[in-house]
Formats: sequence, C-alpha cells, structure tokens
Amino acid sequence: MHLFIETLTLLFFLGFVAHAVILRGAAGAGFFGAMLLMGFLRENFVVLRDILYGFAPLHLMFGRAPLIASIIWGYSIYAAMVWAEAVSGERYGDRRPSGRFLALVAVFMIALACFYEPFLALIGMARWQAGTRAVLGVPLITWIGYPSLAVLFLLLWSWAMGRDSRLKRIAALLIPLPFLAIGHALGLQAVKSALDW
Amino acid sequence: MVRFSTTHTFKVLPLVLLGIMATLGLVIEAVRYGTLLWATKIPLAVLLAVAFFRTRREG
Repeated sequence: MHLFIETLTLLFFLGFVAHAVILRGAAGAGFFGAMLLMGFLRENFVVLRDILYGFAPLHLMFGRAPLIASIIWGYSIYAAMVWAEAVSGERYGDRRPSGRFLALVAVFMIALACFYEPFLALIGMARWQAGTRAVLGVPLITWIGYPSLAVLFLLLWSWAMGRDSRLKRIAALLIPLPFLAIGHALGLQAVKSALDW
Repeated sequence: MVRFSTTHTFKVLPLVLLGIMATLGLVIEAVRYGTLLWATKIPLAVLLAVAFFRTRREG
C-alpha cells in the first residue's frame, strides 16, 4: 500500500513538473527545483532533529527522509498556485502576488492539510508527536504550517525572480531558501510548543 | 451552457490529478480500512469545484 501511494504521488509530481515546464518553460523547471530543494532540506531536518512528526520506513527515500515528504511540498504549493490563478484570474510570476492571491493559496493549503493528514495517519505513513491536538484527525498546527510555508515560498520566489540578472536571481533564491526550509520547521515546532498544540 | 476548452482543462490539469488522488484516497479508505474520512475531504472538494466552475466559460 505504501509503495503504491509513494509511486502514484511521484508520477503525479512528475506530471505537475511537466505541466509547469510546458506552461512556464525554464522558470517552471526552476520553480519545481527550488521547491524540491526546500522540501528535501526541511523534511531531512525534521527527521534529523526529531521534531514535529516522524515517518514510517518507506520504500523511496531521499536522504534520511521519505521522497514523498520532500516532493509533497512542491506538489501542494503548485496545486495551490494553479487553483488561486484559476479562481482569481491573477497570473503568478516574477511580480509580488496580491494579498488576495496569497490568501487563496493559504485557504487551499489548509484544505490540502485536511485531506492529507487524516489519511496519512490512517495508513500509518506519518505520525505527529504524541499529544498533538487535532480536529477530525487534522492537527491544529497544520492549519498554520501548510499555508505559511506556501505563502513564504511564493513571496521568496517572486522577489528573487524580480532581480535584473540571472546570477542575482539564483543568489536571491538559493541563499534564503535553506533558512526558509529549516526556519519554518523550527518556527512551527516553537509555535506548537508555545500553544500546547 | 457549460463549456470546457482543451486549453483551460490543461491549465487546471494539476487540480484534476489532485481530484483523482483524493478520490483514490476515499477508495483506499473504504476498501482497505473499512472507513471513510469523507468529512475531511469536503473543503478540498468544494475548492476544486469552485475552480472548475470559475474557469468553465473561458477559452
């Protein structure tokens, strides 16, 4: 069962990447490359520091964390972006997205948390820390974690892509990205502990 | 009249795949685990429906 879900998610993820490349060209590939790097850093940090949640031993690994954990962020953020574009009519790119667009992305990410979390717990792929507060199997902290990472990443990407040279764009993206990935995991754990969620 | 164009269907293809994944999730829950976490999928279902109806007249 786990291998089936891991493989299916990977195939859909590759479909998302192809979709982004067809519609956005090299920027689409870079967009997914950045999200994959962010997911890899974040999820491996979560495993190594033993914070927030843990994973069952899965078949496809990427470093110390399951591959599915690294790719699910890009998968989810891209889906949220496509949805926000479809609903708002605003095209996301190298200009700072509107507050309305980001709010729509946040709402969609919360809906994804409601879909993923109870399912992952049911099939035993991921387990939050003991005592984590949840409603209908959805940990409360995910209502902050999912939308905040998506919004911060989209702001970072649009800001970085607004630089006037390729080198500046790459530097503006890759220098803050590890801080975003690791800072988000640490920040979320801190909020979770402070709120006793 | 509701009309879907190939272009706009392609633009929202990731949402179609996500809908398929959520549906598969329901099937797995029902067949393998004998339970349905349907209530937690309502928000996503509503949002996906909104996207499809918002884009239906374009193209």
